[in-house]
Amino acid sequence: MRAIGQTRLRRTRDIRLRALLFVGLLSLPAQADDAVSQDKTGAPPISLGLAPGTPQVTALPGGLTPAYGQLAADESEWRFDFHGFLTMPLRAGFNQRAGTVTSDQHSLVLHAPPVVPDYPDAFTYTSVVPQPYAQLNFSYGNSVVTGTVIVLARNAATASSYTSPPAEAGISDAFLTFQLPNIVKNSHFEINVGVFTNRYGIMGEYDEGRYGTPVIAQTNGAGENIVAKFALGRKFLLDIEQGIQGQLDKAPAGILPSGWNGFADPNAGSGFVNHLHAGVGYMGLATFGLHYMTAWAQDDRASQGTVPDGAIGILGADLRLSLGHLGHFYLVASRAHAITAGSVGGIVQVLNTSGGLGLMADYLGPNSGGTGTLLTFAGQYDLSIGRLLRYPRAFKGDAPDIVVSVFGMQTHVSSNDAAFDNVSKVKYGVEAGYAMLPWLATSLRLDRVEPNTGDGRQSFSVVSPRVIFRSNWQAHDQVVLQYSHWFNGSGVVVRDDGYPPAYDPTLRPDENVVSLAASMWW
Amino acid sequence: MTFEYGNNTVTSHVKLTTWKPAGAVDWTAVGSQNFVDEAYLTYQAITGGPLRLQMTAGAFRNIYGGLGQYSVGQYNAAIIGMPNGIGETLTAQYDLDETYTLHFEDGIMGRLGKAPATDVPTADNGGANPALPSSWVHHAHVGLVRKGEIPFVLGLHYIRNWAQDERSQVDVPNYYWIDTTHRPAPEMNVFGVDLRMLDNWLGNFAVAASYADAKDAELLTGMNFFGAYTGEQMTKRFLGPRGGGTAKMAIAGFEYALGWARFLQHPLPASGAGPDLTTSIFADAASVSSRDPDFDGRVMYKFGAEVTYRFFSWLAISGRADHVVPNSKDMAETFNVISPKVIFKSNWLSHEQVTLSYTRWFYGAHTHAEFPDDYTRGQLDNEMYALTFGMWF
Repeated sequence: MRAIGQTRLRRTRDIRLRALLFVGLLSLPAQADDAVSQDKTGAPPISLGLAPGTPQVTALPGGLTPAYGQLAADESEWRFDFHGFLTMPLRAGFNQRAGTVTSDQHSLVLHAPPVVPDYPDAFTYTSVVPQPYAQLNFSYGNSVVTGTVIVLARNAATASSYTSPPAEAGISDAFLTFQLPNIVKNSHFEINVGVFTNRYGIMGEYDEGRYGTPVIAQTNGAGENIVAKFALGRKFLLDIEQGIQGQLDKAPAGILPSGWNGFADPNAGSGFVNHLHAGVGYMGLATFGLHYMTAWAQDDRASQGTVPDGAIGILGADLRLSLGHLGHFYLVASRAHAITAGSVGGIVQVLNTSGGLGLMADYLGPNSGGTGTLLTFAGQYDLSIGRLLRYPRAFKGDAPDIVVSVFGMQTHVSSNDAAFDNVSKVKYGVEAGYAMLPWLATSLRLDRVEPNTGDGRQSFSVVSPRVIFRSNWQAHDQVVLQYSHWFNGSGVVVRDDGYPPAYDPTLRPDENVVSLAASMWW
Repeated sequence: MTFEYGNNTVTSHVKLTTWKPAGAVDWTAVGSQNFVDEAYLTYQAITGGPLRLQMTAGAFRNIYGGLGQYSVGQYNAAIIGMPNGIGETLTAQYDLDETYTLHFEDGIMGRLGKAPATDVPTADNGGANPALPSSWVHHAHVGLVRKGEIPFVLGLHYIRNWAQDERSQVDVPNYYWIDTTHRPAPEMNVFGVDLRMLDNWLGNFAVAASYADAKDAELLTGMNFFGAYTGEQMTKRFLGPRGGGTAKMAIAGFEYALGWARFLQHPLPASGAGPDLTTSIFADAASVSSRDPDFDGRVMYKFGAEVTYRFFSWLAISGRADHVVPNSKDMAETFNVISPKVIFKSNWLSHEQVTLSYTRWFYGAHTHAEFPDDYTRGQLDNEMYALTFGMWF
């Protein structure tokens, strides 16, 4: 029995040994493959150079070597995210040819873009004429930190008649966001670090509002932004926000302002902005905020130090009421005071104007020396009639609805340039949209713009009926067919198609515009 | 790179393209990096029944008269036209029965803007030309599709490219033959027909023809015609600069590609995962009636053949020969090209290839390059070695 048992044991060992050898032989190629790609620790394979996709950067400060392309130890927590927005409009402005019409010319002329006073950096901006825009957000992160890279364009090459590098920005933002929920009890901290924008004075509930203009200011630069929220009991929320940003560089001395460089001005110094904000929220229904921002430049390289240092100080206050079935209401007041601001670059945008030079071009005047003040009040109210009438039943927007919006803005300018001093500007409008079918809605918008209340000839009105197609009630897409008619005063001035465009009082604006805009957001 | 997001009804598409990756350049060519080249939505508006309706809206391009199965063909020139711009294209399909389907298509496109008036065309601004008006394209098409083992598509096409824009009527020095201070309204009408036999065991075949009537077409943008991206290219290559692009042009082309393994194995199915011999023959021809006496009466044609044999999953060899007659009024411009290649792939049907090629040109005495690279006979290289990498996904 023992011999038989030993024989079985030997036979079993033999089979196991052979099986082991067989499995070992089978696994040899796999081991060899693994040896080429990665060792058991997950470290990259040893090679004589760096892989082609390795970032072309030095070691990070502190000597940390980023393990690019390697799996994180807590890989399962990390995820990739992709969001975006695009709107691409076909636009045509209709007009009659001025002067003699030859036999091989048409009397009717078609303009793209339309020749109308609708410029984002001017007070006359209504956003009635849709602008091309595409943005792709790529994010990777976990519950604590997320890296985001944004590719942005205000153009599409296939539809462009010339190459405008500033409109094809490429990577416009690249930043990290840290979410720190448990530093202090009943608090939440969010920290943004990198290159990004902050916007304050936002009239819409989820967007920049009907005028597409951050009423207090927008910052653009590299730096940080800390948002701290503290729960004060069960009903109140204290919101404290701070940020410092600077520009990555300044325009080189000797550069000639041109379209390809975004009309870079070597006389503008490298700009910085510091901003502080405090707000109190009540049960998610109301938020009152106070805002302080100062942007400045103190750069001796700006025109060999002969340009005075400039600054733009901004104070703002806003009230937002998110009243559920009673709608959304927003009111804001802002005061921007510029002192020799011509040397302040695009680190800050006041009413969509870029830095001090933009303020001078659109509000303060060329002879202001960059000194002056803008006092602005604005408001917007949006109401869903369907939601109001169905209250207290919940309404998710998946049925016919009428949405009404009223909005307005007033700016008073004080300037060292007499021609621009003591000028009041007013614009207001109303829009009503009726969503009748899941795929069809209509809308009518009326705008009135008075760029100078002391000169009624500059005023104009716009009426814009629209037909809106989309894939469903709450779809994230729409195709809008729009007609707009301008009722222009005799003193309405539009810009020519120069480089850069300049106001030309001899041009007769288009009065009729048709557009077809495709938009989607995800 | 194309990024897409959507559902069964609507999908957004955003394309980032470049023809000059920054890592391999010594200078930045403005316009070589299209961070957003195309951005558009596609809708499947009506589906499921005999009538289907699709819409494309945004910034994109359409192609008509392409001769290749997945491309515009071996000569990279759509025979009928390729509108590009911002606008919409509506496509309706109606099933007459299980075999035949009618197609209707209509689109309109414009430009986002025009080059600024005070601009001077230079490399700094990608050659922005203030003399060019903002152009428009309207196109309409009707087609009949026959489904089945050997599918066919017959199409009739009409494309109108025009402008009526009075802005920036300034004197542009390099426009010798058009008075840009009293800029005429340019236009071009293209009528086309094509017949395609879609990929089956008999191969892939396409034949197309078009007739273009152009007036001052040098000022046009928004449509690629016979491989010319702009009206200026079209004029300097085909229509004649001295006529300012006023001319009539007739074009015809065909292409036939056959996979012999699939053909010989028929009716057995062929997976493509095995050795195969692929042959392709192709030709384009055009005649011009122009206001420019140098181009008037000119006939141009070219034809060629390519044979590719795949031995292994990772290796193929190929040979191509072309005969090109750019100008019937000067046969000394004629030239020939031969181009043997070795092709490496990771698998039979993989989506990448590395190609090592040698190309030899045999020039005529007057052969020269075309606008915008106006190299003379003496400046032309006659040999080229190339290692080309490609992947599609």
